[in-house]
Amino acid sequence: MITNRLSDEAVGVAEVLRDQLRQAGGVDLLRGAVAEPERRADAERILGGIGAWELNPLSDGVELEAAAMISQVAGEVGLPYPVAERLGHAEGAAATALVSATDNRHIASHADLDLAWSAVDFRGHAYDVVARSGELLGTKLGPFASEFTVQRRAERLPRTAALVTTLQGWWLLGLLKKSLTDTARYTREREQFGRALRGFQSVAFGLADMAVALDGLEELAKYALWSIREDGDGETALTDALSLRVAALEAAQVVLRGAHQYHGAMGFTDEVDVSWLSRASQSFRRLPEGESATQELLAARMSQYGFAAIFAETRTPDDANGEDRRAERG
Amino acid sequence: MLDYGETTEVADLRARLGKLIDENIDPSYLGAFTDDPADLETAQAFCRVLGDNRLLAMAWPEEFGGRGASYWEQTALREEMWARHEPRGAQYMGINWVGPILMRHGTSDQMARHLPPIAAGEVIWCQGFSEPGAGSDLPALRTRATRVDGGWRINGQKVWTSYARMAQWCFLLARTGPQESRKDGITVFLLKMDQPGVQTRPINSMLGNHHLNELYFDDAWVPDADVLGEVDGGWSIVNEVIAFERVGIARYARCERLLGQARAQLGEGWADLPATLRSRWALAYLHTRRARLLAYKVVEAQVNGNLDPATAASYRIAVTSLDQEVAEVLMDVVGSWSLGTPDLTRVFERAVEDHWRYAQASTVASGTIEMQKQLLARSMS
Repeated sequence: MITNRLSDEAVGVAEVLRDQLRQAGGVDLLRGAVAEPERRADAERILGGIGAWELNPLSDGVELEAAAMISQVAGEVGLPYPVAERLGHAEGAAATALVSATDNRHIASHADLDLAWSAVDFRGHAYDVVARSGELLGTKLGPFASEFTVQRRAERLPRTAALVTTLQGWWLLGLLKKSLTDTARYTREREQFGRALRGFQSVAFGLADMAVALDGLEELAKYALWSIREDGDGETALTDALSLRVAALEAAQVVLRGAHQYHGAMGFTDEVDVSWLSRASQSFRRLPEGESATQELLAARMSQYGFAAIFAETRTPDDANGEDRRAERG
Repeated sequence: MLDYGETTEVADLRARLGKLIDENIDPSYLGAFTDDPADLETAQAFCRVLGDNRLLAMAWPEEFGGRGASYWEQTALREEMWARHEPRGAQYMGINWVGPILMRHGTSDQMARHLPPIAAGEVIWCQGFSEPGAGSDLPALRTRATRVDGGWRINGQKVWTSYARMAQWCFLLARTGPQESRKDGITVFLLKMDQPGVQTRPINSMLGNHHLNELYFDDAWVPDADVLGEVDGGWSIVNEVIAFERVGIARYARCERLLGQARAQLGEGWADLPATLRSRWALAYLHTRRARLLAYKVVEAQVNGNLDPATAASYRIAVTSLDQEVAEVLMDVVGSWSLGTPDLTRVFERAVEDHWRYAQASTVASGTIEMQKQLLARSMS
């Protein structure tokens, strides 16, 4: 029976976390951690306090949904902590980063934190993290980005890759939802030419486009989660996770572009949350592979593994091998 | 907990519908409204087959010719039909919104007279809404209903009326209050088309036959028994009609089927397509899933009785934009065949050309995408 509602437990956990993050300052946690990176420990403590690190998302459906909702609520404040990477960690690791299969430079937010790191790529390959620089990039768009080196393992972990990718999608969903809420409020309050910005049709249309992009993203995020629960070997789930990522990158462009535009100059200032959320979104949007590469990979996987649909005829056996080679080449 | 798996009941229904279509509809069929009148006859015959199997108005109560099926079964029916070029022809309107609205607002006499023929596939309805001076601004409509002994005389003009020339009944909006009353002076009439005061005229277009017509009323007659709801109280009914109508067509289903066929049709030639096109195809396929999931969100809200206009508008914007995105991708995939061909064996290429033409209307019909965006933006807190 089709239902697009998450379990009450998952929704309940989200409410508790949202309340605690609000009390802890919301986006101020991000502002504080950029100034003093060691304050990321506050985020870890809050998440630990609600039992986030005891969840086992790959073996329990309710815990999987709870992990997704925790990621979303963390995203709403751009929480400075590797939430998706820790909640989705591979067995034997404490946090699992996403890496590119084609780029030799590996970099991810918070990889400096002293955790037992491993890595996976979008093709499902597993990696050992063999060395970490421990230094932060410290730029405006990558305040917590840190380099590391990896060594590919023989095993593949497509289900873990699907989980980390999907939880990152939920994190970005939360961030974009908050950005739209703030923008909708600002366009209602800010007046020009004697009326609210939202009264101008071009602004109203822009807000509608942002809302539609987010509504669709939320449903795809739920679908990707369900796919992880249902798909034991993880190949289908990984394709669905990549499709979520493609939709998330598209939505991020629509929503954050609109958020910047309709906030005017105010939207660039450190005073306004949207300015911080836009910056915090960057490491997810650009790493380990950007929009074009992710789209190309998705197209190849759709041919190789199919794409669940009611009237599906995507995969033809004759082509599967050829597409496989393209997928491997990336 | 989340679940996107279909029940056996729904899967069985799909199989049953697929079999009925295979048995009754030629693979080259592109809908009821082509240049070949035989296609219209095919649709009318198929409706009776569905009606005989109680599959036409499945979700309706048994007393009105349905079999009390679930919203999800009704959704599967919509998907299967639209994916196969709507072999019900014009009947989907009667099922999707005329019937449900009559059940909500009709008298027992109106329900008894009008619902069973719809469920049996024996009657076609048209929608008398738009006028030359009232398109998106529907409350500006001027067609006038004047009270006389025992009923009403209708005078005025409607335009863009799909299926007007084949319809036996018209779900008509007319002004009963003063012109300046706008939304507060509109009444819904159930008007019999076969009478001297009603004239129709086709409007030739790129969409195909029967999609666009003009309707003229010159002292047309409606008895009191065919006034739906309260006099001057029609606007609330209009809003419900629009809500039903806007989620009634599973456009994503045909998009999905054609995108899937594109991949299978090209076989080994797929790898020779430009990488950009393969990427656009993948994106369109993903957007198709997105629209389907938004449709399911609407259906779930209908099941729970809490569908709000913003949720419906969001889906509508996504699915109508999708229709046009998919049309462009498919036209690129078929290349020189995109201009169409009389060769009936080129089923896929003909379907793509047909889809592109019809998709142009998707962001206009049943309310423009601009109106949907306005509605959605206004609903934001």
